[in-house]
Amino acid sequence: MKTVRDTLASLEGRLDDMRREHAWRAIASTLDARASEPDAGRSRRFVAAFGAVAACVAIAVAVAGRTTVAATPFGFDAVVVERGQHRTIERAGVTVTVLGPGAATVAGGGDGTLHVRVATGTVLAERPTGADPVTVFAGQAVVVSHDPKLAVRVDGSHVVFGAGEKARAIIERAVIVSRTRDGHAMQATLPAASSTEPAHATPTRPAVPRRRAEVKAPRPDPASPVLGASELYRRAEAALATRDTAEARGLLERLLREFPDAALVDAARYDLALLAHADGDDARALALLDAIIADGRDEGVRLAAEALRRRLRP
Amino acid sequence: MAAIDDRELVARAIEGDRAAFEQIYRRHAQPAFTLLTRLLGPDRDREDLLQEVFVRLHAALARFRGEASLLTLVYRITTRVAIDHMRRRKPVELVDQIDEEIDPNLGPADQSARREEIRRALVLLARLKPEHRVAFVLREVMGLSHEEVARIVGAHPAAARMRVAAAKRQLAKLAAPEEGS
Repeated sequence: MKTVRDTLASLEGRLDDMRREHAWRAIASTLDARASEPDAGRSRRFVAAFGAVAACVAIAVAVAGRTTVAATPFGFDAVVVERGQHRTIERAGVTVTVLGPGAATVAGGGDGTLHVRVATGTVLAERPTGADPVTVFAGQAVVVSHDPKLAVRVDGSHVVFGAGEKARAIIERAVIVSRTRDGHAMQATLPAASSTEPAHATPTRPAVPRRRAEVKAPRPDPASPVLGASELYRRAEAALATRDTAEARGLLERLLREFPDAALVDAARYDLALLAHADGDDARALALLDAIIADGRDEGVRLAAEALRRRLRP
Repeated sequence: MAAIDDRELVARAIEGDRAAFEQIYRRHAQPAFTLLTRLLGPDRDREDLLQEVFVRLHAALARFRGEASLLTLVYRITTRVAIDHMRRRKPVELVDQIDEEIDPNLGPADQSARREEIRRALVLLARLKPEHRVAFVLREVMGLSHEEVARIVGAHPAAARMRVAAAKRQLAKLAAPEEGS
């Protein structure tokens, strides 16, 4: 125990001049962007107006069951995308992709940057050389980006930004999550676990055809509590969040063993591949990815698997 | 400017004096970065997190009343940002810039031993609940008092003390099998 304390105390985390300056420039840039925002009152009114517009569009989407891009009278585009889908719009040379479920607005800012406001979901902004910088407003954060690729994820109060490789990781993760939190992830869920799922979990257009009658009965492990596929995956995600990799691996492998026909199988194999890669077992990771690519039913996970496979073995 | 105390800098920063806020940044960026490193290990996202800390700090200055030191506020925001990061980070991102913490003048065997020592410490730390991890690092690694830890984590001193004790018990339990083997 003393070793842990002493080892941690020996970590200096030295912030060299270059990194200190780089971080300060980014902070100053963010503060500048905030300062150029309308005053707080107008800002709040804008948020309220945006909320009303987004709510109307969201209701329209819920009723019509489709993805929507609406040009608003306020001079910005409002994009609302339902789960499992994405929508791309181009403005000022910048390509903005919203992954569902998500809502965002895109507008040319008066400060020479493109303003992207992300209410919820994941958004990717791709900016060719020479195009306007992008100012992204997400939660309480504002970021001005000159990066070719910038991704942002807004999930409740959590906001994550990433450029370059991190942008790709955010997008890949969004694809996986959009498939696994959806209703089609529940097709093999037992009643005991289904009560934990949201009531709106039935998708209007599932990525994987639901053939409830053809789903095989789960084969629960008698030594373990009876859990559905989605509950196993939820617990595995929780274990991953606390970096309990052994627990996560056990739950994911149990999901594969007991629910071989569940829609979550592809996501479970993908996460197991990530764990294998983290352990240095790239052969196992590649085998899992190849299995997804060969017979995966989930298009989004398959694309993510192909991308990860290219990274592991270009 | 160097002689100006934190309260004066805060007052100026609230008035919109960017140079004053820059001075606050230059004074407190290193402590915040060190705390991030000890909480998260040499994580590649630390720079981004540091930016988030100071953007949040800028917004929080208006509410700063000076009851505690500015460094306490910086640590409070840093721990919140770190906890958010712990909850969304995946294990594959656990330790990716470990070599930054290894003296390049060491021989290969010593470098390897040091790398393993850091990796082991971070793996054990990562098994703790985020709240316990924060309390342990602030108290046992950064050497703050229980009262200071309590102010930073927004808990009663007794609760902070319990979190530290729980973390130490958990670490002892986790380390025991390794030491016994």
